[in-house]
Amino acid sequence: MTAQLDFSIDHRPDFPLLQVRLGAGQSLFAEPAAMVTMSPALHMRAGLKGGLGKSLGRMFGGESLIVNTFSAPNGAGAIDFAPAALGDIHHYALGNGGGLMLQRGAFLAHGEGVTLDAKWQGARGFFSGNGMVMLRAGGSGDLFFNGYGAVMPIDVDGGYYVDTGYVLAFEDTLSYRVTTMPGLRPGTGQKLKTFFLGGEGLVCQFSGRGRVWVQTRQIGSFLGWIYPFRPVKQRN
Amino acid sequence: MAQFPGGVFDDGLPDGRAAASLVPGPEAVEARLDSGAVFVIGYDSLRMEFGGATGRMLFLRGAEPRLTLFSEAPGLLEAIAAAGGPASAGAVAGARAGQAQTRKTHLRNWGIALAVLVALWFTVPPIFRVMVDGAVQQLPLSVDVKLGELASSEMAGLGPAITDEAVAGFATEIVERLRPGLPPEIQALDLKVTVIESTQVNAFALPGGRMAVLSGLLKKADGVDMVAGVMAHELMHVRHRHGMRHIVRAAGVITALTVLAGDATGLLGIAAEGAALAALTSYSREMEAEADLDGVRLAAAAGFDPAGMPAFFRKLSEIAPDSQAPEALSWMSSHPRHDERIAALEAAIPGLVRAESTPMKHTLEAARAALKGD
Ligand SMILES: [Zn+2]
Repeated sequence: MTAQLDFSIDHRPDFPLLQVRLGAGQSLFAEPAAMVTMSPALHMRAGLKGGLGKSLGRMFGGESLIVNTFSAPNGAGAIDFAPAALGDIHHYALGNGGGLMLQRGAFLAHGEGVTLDAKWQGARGFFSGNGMVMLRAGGSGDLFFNGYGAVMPIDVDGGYYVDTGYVLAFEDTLSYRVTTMPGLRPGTGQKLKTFFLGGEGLVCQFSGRGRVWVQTRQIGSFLGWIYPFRPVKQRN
Repeated sequence: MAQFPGGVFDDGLPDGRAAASLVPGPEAVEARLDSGAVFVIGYDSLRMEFGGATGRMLFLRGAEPRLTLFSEAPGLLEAIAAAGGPASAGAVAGARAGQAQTRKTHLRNWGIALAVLVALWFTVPPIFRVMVDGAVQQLPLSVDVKLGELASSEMAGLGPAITDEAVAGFATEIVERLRPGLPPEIQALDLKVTVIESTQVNAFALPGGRMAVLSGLLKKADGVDMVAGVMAHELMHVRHRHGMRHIVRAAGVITALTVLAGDATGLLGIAAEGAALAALTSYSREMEAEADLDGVRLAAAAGFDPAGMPAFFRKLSEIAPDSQAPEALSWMSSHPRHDERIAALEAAIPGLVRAESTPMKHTLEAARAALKGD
C-alpha cells in the first residue's frame, strides 16, 4: 500500500510537524487541538465521527469525543499538525490485509477509508498499565500516530518482548500477552526482588508475524526522573 | 464462491505481506491479490489456528513454511469445512481444538481476574478511607474556610437572612453553648450562624464553620433541645471536615477511574465529575453516623437534652413521610435512613452525661413569635 495523501513530516524526531496537502475533494480527520496552520481554502468542522456509538468507543480509548474534519471542497490546501507529546510522528498505510492496534493517545490523524474503534483489552490492558482499551484502526488509507521520543519499528517473526510502557502500536496479525520477564519465572524470590527493585517487571510478549512500533521514551519514567527537581514551597 | 477479506504473508511480496481475498474451494484455499497473483494452500497440507491481537484471526499454513494466509472475517472456518468436506475436516478440527483450548485459558484468566477483583473490593475501601483521612489531615483548615466561602453564595440564594435579635440571637446562643465542647482549632473558626427565612425544614453547615438554619425548622421544632440537636449534628460535619473528605474522596474516585481506563478525558471524565457531584450532595452513611453520635454527645455536654435529636428525627419523619414532599431540599432528603439512626441514637443516649442546664437568654418561643407568618 502506498499513501493516498500527499504529506511530509519535518523537524523529526523531537519536534516534528506533519503537513498534509489535501487535493480538492479530499478529507482528513484529526485529533482536536493538533492543528497548527491551515490554508484558507480548507474547511474545518468539529463534530462526532461515525455516530455516537463509535465516538463513545473512542472516548473509552482515551481519545476525545470530537474529531476535527478538514476538507477541501473548493480547492487544494495544506494543514500542519503537531502532537501534544515531544516525539516523532509515524505514517502507516492501512490496507495490507490487517489492522493496526494503537496505544490510547497515539492517534494523530487519518485519511478517508480508515475506521477507528476502541478494543477492550481486559486484564492484559490492566496489568500493562496502559489502560484497558486500545484503539484499532482498520479499513484502508493513511494513518498518522505519534509517540514520546523517537518511534522505532521492529519486525517480529516468531516472538519478541517489549516493556509495556514502550509499546506504541502493532499490527493485529501479532498476538500478544502481558507477562513477566522470561528469566524471572523460576525461583519466586528472585522474581519478586527483580519485579520490585529492578523495575523490569511486565513486558508485552508478541508472537506471530507483523510489525511493532516502539517509542524510545516513556512519559511515566520521565516524570519519575524529573520529580525530585520540581520546585517545592518552603514550609515554615 | 464466498470470498473473505484478509491477507497473505510471503517473503516474495514487497514488504512481505499484502491484502487478499480468501476463497475456499473444494481442494484448496486460494488467496487472490489485487495484483492478480494467487497463493494456494491445499487441504492435504493445511494447518489452521486462531491468533492475532484479538485472538479471532484465523491463520492458514501449508507445506511452504513462509507462506501464511490470514483473515478475521467471520464464517471463514465454516466455509472451509463446507467447501472441503472430508478433505478439510482434519484442519478444521485442529483449529477448533485450539480454539477450545484458548477459551479454557481465557475462562481461567477471567476466574483469576474475578478473584483479584473480589479481594480488592474488600481491601481497597478501608485502605482508601485511611488515605483520604490522611490527605485531609495534611490540608490546613483554611482550605475548608475557602471552600465554605465559595459555597456561601449558594446559601444566599435560599432566602433573606433574618436579623431580628430574638431569632438570630437564639441561633447564635445555641452555637455559643455548643462551642466549648469542640476542639480548639474548630473553636477558632468563624462559627457564624444565619437564620434564613424559608418554609423549608433544614439546617446545614458549610466547610469552615458557616452555618444556616432555615426558619421552617424553628417553626416545626418542639423545643430548644431539638434545634440544638440538629445544630450539634451539623457542627460535627464541620469538626470532622466531612466536606473536605468528600471532595478528596471524589478526587480519589477520579484518580481510580483514570488508572482503570488509562485516561479520564472524554466520557470517563464526565462520569467522574458526575460521581463527584453525587458524592458531594449528601454525606456517606459513616459520616452521618459520626455526626449523629458525636453531635448528641456535644449537645449533652452543653446541657441540652440529648433526646432532642432523635425526637426531632422522629417528628420530621411524621411531617414528611417520604422525600416526595414539596421541600425536596429538606433536611430529611439529605439525611435518609432515619429509623436506623433513631435506633442508634437512642441506644447511645443512656451512656451520655448531660451537663447542668441553665435557662437560655433567648427562647425558642420568643424566636417563633418574631418570625413572620406564624
Ligand atoms: Zn448530616
